[in-house]
Amino acid sequence: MDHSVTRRNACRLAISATGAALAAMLLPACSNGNSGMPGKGKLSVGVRSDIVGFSERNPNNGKYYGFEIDLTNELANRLGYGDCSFITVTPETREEMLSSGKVDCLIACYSISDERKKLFDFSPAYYTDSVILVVENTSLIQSFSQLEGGTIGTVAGTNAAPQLAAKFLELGLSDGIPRQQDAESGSIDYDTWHLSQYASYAELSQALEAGDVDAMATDGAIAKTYLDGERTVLPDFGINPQRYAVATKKGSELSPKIAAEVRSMLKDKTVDKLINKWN
Amino acid sequence: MSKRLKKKSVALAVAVTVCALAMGLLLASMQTRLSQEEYALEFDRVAAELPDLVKTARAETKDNTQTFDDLYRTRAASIAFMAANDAGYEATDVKMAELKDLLKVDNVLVARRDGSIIAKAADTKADFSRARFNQLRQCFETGKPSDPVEVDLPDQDWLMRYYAAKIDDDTMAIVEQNPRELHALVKDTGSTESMLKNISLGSHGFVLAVSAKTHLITYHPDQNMIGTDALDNGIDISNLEDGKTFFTSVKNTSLYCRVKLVDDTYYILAIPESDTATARNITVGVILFAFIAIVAAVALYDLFVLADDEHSDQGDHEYVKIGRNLRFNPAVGRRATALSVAGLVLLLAVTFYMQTLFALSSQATVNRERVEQIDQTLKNNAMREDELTRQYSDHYATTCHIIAYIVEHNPELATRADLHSLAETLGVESIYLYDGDGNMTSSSTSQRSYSLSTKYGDSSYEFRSLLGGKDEYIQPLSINRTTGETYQYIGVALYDQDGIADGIAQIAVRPMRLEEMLKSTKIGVVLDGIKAGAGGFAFAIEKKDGTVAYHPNNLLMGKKASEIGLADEHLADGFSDFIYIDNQKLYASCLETDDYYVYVAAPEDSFMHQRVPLTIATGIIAAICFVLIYPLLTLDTIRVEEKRSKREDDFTARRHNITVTTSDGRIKHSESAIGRWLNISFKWEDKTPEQKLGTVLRWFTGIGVFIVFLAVLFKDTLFGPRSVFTYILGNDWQRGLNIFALTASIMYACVALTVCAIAQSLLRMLSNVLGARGETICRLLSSLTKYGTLIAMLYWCLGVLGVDTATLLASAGIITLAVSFGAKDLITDILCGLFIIFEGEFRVGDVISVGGNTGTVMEIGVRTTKINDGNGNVLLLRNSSISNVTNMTKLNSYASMDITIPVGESLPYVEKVLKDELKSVHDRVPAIIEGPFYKGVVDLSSTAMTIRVVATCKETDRGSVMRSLRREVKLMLSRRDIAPYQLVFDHCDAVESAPKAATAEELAEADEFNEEQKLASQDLGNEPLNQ
Repeated sequence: MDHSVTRRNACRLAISATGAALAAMLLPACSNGNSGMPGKGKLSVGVRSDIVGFSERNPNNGKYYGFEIDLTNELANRLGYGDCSFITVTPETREEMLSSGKVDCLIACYSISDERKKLFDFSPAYYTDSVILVVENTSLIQSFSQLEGGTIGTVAGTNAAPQLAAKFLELGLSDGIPRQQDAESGSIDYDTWHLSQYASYAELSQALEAGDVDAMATDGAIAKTYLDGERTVLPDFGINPQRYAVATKKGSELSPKIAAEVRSMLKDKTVDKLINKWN
Repeated sequence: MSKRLKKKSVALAVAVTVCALAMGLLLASMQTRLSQEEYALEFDRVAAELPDLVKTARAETKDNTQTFDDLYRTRAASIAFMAANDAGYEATDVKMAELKDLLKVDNVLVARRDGSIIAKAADTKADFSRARFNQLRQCFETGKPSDPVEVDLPDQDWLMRYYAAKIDDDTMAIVEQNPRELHALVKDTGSTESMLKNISLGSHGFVLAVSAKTHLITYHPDQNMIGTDALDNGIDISNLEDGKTFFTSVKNTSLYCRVKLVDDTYYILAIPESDTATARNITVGVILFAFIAIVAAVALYDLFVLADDEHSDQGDHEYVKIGRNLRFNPAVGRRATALSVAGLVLLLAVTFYMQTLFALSSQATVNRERVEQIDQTLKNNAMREDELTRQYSDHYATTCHIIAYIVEHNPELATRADLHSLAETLGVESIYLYDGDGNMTSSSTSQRSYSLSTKYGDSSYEFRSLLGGKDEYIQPLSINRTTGETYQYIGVALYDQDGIADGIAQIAVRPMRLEEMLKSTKIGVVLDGIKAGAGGFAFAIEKKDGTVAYHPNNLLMGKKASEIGLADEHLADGFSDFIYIDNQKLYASCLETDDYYVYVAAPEDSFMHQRVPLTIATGIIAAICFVLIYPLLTLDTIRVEEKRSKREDDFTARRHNITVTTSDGRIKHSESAIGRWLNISFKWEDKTPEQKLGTVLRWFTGIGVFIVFLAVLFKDTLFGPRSVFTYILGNDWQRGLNIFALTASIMYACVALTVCAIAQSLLRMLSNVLGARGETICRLLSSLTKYGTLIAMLYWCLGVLGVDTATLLASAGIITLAVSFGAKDLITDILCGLFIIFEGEFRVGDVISVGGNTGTVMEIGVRTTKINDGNGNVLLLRNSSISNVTNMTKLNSYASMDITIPVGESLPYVEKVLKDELKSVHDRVPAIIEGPFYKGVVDLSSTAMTIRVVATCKETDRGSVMRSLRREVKLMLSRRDIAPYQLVFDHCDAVESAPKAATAEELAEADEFNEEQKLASQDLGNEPLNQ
């Protein structure tokens, strides 16, 4: 899906991008709803559509809001793009989208890992997050150890599953050996706990509501979407800080440019400002 | 016009334009600033209220949830009680279904601690073995019913709340209930919507909520706007900051906004600009129009005077020299001062009037809106009250049924201790059991014996109906007189094995939450929050006894309406006017509800305080403008003496003006009667400066009246539906001498005048086209239109201004009677006028003679007929006195002339001369139609004989034909040496040569002179006597 940013955004971008003189040149292009200056083109960015505060798509107007969106706009602006188009990606599709070239880069709560580094180029991390566990208040679970014997849900394709296993192992609650594995549903039985995998966070959240899972493991950034007065984050759990970064195709000419711009944004506190704005 | 004057006019025009612009800008900015200040006050008030409102809404939600949960927890507890007390409990599906119906819940289950289900009334989606439902298992630890677990999965159509109560150490009763009712209540009382929709803000103002993060609109009075992006709707992101005040446009409505950030939501307080803006523009427009008219009139008048002075010879000597190059014209100065002062006073009056209207109408709009809001709230409250009472009654009836069920299944529980624990379990105040005779057998309280009353009308009597076949009886809420607590008694019949009613289970409950909620629907609570502008408030009068049901001032509560200053006529729906309460002048609007007269009132000072400063400011600006224009008008450079060509162009004496010398010696010009009546439009140059000023003023008035006419005609497109002018034209205000009635009168009078003027000019146009009779009728219709409009207008306006029109009609009858003798003549006049016209006795333009007065008919009016006697005198004849009319407009009239000839002359010779010459006379006098004819000798005396010559001519020409005839006859006789009239020579000193006969040249010259003089004097000396 292709959701181009609004004219307003584009104009704002253009103005702040290249100063008043250039803006004057760009403005007509903006007002025509064109996709920017010839030669400059659009930056197509893979973003999430369901993460409140990071990147959320409003179904009413088809626009995206959030920290990552503001970051993307700023980045495109600094790179000198006239416009950027947002393309919704999911944890399953994002890697394929990037490698097949459907998007120029991923700014989609995509964390740096050694495995991923082999596939893609990463900019410096713009946000650090960790996997947390969300439980229903009515389950009266207040610490990680109470989850022994319970079911923990994750979304397929995320880092959370192996990290959870490692955590159980580390705390000595489990021997970390999968007993039974269901390839289709992605559920794994360990000796003292059970792992269920879901296709999306929405499904995972519903499973939590229904009681099918006792806790949902998610990235801290994503958890916000699904937190309400009836749910809490387990305070004594937090694993493997994940560093979100902009991913580009291995060896892409964009990679060094983006990396440089992200670095400069980190340096001049632009990123901090944006994080504060959305927090 | 001289060059100097032209320059001066241009300078003046520029000055007037600048003044008008300055005035317009200042007025507009002043007015805008003042209303913005007013808005700012409103914003401050609402912004201060908002955090509390948010808190209250949250507390409300919490309380409602608590109450709901308590209710269903007792249901679960009642199952546990049954199990513990052997009151018909069995762990079977059938029993569960029975209990489900009894408890009126969605599902009843019995489950083990591990979540496995022992018995159930229906299938459930919940898997109680999950940790999700751990909270239910808490009942095992505490022994009390558990806190609820709510599962909300709209995708799976699963919205349930679960409550558990401990049966034994391994079993619990679970109640499954859909919290629909709770959610609806929360939405009604605790949601953003419920909180914001009742906020009153200025006139038509509202509050919208925007999420601070996503900028989505979470509340807007327009449902369609909810969920849309605030930025898309035109709100600039830079404006979304706490405390920011700005203008924006949402959906083509210009809004004046203030942002208030509470938690994660921007509350945008918005007041639409348009409504007040229209009123404001009109106010500024009217004042500006008056100002321009006055300044222009002053400037133009003085220009006219100057122009006039240039034409006349007087001038230089009147100037006063100031300095070397300037001179002051005192004549112009005097006039300018007089006019300026008068204009200033007029402007102040107009401004004061418009500001009053503006302030009052804004307040009226606000009052009206608040009244509507109260009306809506009261209606909603009434509905909510019913709904709440019904819901609670249902719940308590169910509880009572449960008790009856328990008691029936285990009659041994009818002891005080057991009933007491049952009452505690079910959360009721007390339980009473009665036998088949209505005597109390046991109760949960210390009360031992009581018998239901057998007296019809007693409150407990109704419970006896339960013994007569009724299943349940719910007594209405009753308030304990001494404690003020609300109690409700509910009874359910107890049946024996055969199903015959043999007793009653009665409970008493204290519906505290209901009590609290009902309290919030009380009139005082509703009116307490109502603010109508700064200082405005609401109060209510009880309809039943006419006492004050609510007033912000507690001292006034409970007093009689008449005691606080309300008269009977104030107690009416739709009343909207000033009242005096507590020695305070209030502008109040009334609403009649089922139980109350609700008033929204604002003290006069609170909304009128702008009026005087604004008027004074306008006056000062106007004064400054006059001061600026004054020197331009009166001062003049001393010019180099230039030869003035006397009477430069075709400037002629003002023919239609007469000069009047007043008693104090001043000379004034005035229009002659004929000029006034015949609507003779004279040349602009002919007019005196005063007349020119009059014309200019008439134009301005005409323009003003026409604009008002247009405004009234297109009121729907021009003013919004909520505009104050729509209100004024809608006739909803109070009849009486108030500003709305006055304004409406003026506006409708303007319409009537315009219509009348259009009709009159149409008739005038028609009369020019039509013949004499047509003209007569047109003139009559014209005056009928004029008088009809005036009388109807007067009558209507009097009605609007509060004069009782019915009485007026009746009194008109009495007056008619009383003055019928006086009016008799008037009626006769009118009737005669009609007869004159329809019988065609004479028409406009006819020459008639009435009672010795002869003249041309100028106009046949309703009451009088105007006749021009041919000498510029206008005879006003009352139609009734027009009798014995001689209409001299014959087809042909005749001129008759007698010539006296001395008897000495030979008659035959004279007759021969006549025979020869009469033909040539005909040729020389073209006005003669036939003739002249010799009529014969009409008189004969000892010295002279008189012969007569006649000629036919038009009646209008008669005078001149006679004069011409006389001249011709004299010339003719002189030629033939016949001397008309006796020549008497007293003495003859010298023999003079006989007068020579006139030469042909002399004759021609005389003829020419004669013609010329005739033409020149055609309008003079035409009265019959001078013929």
